[in-house]
Amino acid sequence: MDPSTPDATRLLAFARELQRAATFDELLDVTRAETSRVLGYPHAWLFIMENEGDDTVRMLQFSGEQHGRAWEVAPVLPVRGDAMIEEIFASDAPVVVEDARTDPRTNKAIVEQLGNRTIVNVPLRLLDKPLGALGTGTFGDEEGCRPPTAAQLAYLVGMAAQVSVAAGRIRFLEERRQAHVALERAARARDDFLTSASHELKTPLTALSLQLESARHILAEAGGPTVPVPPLEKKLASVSRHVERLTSLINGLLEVTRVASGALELTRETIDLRAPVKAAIASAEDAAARAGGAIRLEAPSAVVGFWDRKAIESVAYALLSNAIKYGAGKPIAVRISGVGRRARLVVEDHGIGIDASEHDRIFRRFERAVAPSQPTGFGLGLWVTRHVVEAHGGTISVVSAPGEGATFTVDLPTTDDG
Amino acid sequence: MMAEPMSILVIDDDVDIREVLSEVLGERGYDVTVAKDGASALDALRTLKPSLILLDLNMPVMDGVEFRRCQQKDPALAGIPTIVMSAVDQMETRTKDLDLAAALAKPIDLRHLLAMIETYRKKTTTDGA
Repeated sequence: MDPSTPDATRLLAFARELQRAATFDELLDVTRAETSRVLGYPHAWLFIMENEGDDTVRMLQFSGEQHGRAWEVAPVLPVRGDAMIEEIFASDAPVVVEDARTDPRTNKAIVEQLGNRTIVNVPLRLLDKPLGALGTGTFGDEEGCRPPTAAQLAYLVGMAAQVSVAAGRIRFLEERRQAHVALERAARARDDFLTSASHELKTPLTALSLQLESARHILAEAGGPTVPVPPLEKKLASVSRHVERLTSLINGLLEVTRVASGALELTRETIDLRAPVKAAIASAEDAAARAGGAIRLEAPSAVVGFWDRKAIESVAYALLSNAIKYGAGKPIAVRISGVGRRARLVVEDHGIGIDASEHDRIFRRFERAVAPSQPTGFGLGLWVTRHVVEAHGGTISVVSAPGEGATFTVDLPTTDDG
Repeated sequence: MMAEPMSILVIDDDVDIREVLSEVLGERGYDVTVAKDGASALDALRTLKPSLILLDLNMPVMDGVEFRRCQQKDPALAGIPTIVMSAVDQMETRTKDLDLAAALAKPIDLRHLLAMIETYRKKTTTDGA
């Protein structure tokens, strides 16, 4: 195009205006002012593809008096099945509808509601992919049917090329902003996790260091070659327990890394579900007794399935630890049952409970139902548990309300074919 | 001479910490009572008048900060010196207005803790005489 022609000069001015647009609203305001000035059409709109290769377009903005109504009538339109929109995305050429009321390509319900007369849609493309469409046209009898001249249409195509670049930039900025928000959220969750992990590790470390210092004190007081065996034995037993607790916390962290990297491998064998659950109860019993709540197992008969023994034990142990931690020192019930090809493990406590709004969140990584200022744990136990259960083709769910305890239910298929 | 053993209330939600502190302080002649959160500690304080409180911060039901606020509001309890021991981050910020005898970061040093307890025993004895 020769830059000395008025059209080229106008298009350059339009491109410069578009450079300032940082949102789709601003983009459309600038565009509508231009269609109104050059073509005399008071309305303009933008269709934007929702996702690349998706079958829907979103009417992103509609500028002019019809704004509110169009937004309500057609916020999302399917590409397939809508003749006019299919045509827009099938080629680079503008699609002109002289009279929307009689043209077979239009959606008559929308035309009826909006009062469309002439419709012009110009495809927007970026990096050779469809991005959406720039639309304009007339409404109602007062504006009437007024198709654009060949020169006006050529100018619209020029405008669309400029709008494509601006719309692509705005979409890119929007995506970047959303990605930034997601990254910030993930970083915050990880920071919270590190804080609670360090808190969690320091607690057994405190018990451990107090016992060790106290043992040294006993030895120093004894002074001579005689070692005071009974008090030291007691201390060392306690030291071993704290070391075990630290080890299990660190193992838990390693398990998380394994699950997160997708390296969770199951070693399945035919076992009675009662065996790993009983092993978990044996490991948790001491902590439960010290917290004040006994664990009661109801498992009248064998429930045999093809599972990873260690993994199922870790599931049962995680649920028990949770029940002990939040169980307010009240009894914990564990039930095992089998129906057909499904096995069920239920762990029920009568502690502080979990609000219904938190039920989904507790199974996510780094999430706990209680505030970070509350105790304790990495916020990973249930996330790992969910992954282990799902790797077995099973499901885990919770029923709970504040103050009414929590009941966790694990359903497992007894075979590995689901 | 120690007429009566100095009484200490340990408030911590972690059963291991409660047990170990009871044990090591008990061995040194202190009379230790434990509570698993701020609310049960307030219950215990209806009958118990300890010379010193060792207080954790992160606890369920009622945390250490809330416990300390309740304690400060009660004239009968406000005067009991209170030492916070916690593994939380930014302990200074969280305990700023609590008028504490001390704030110890976990893992705590036993000798340091014992020295501090002794300071308060002397103070209480002197104040009480």
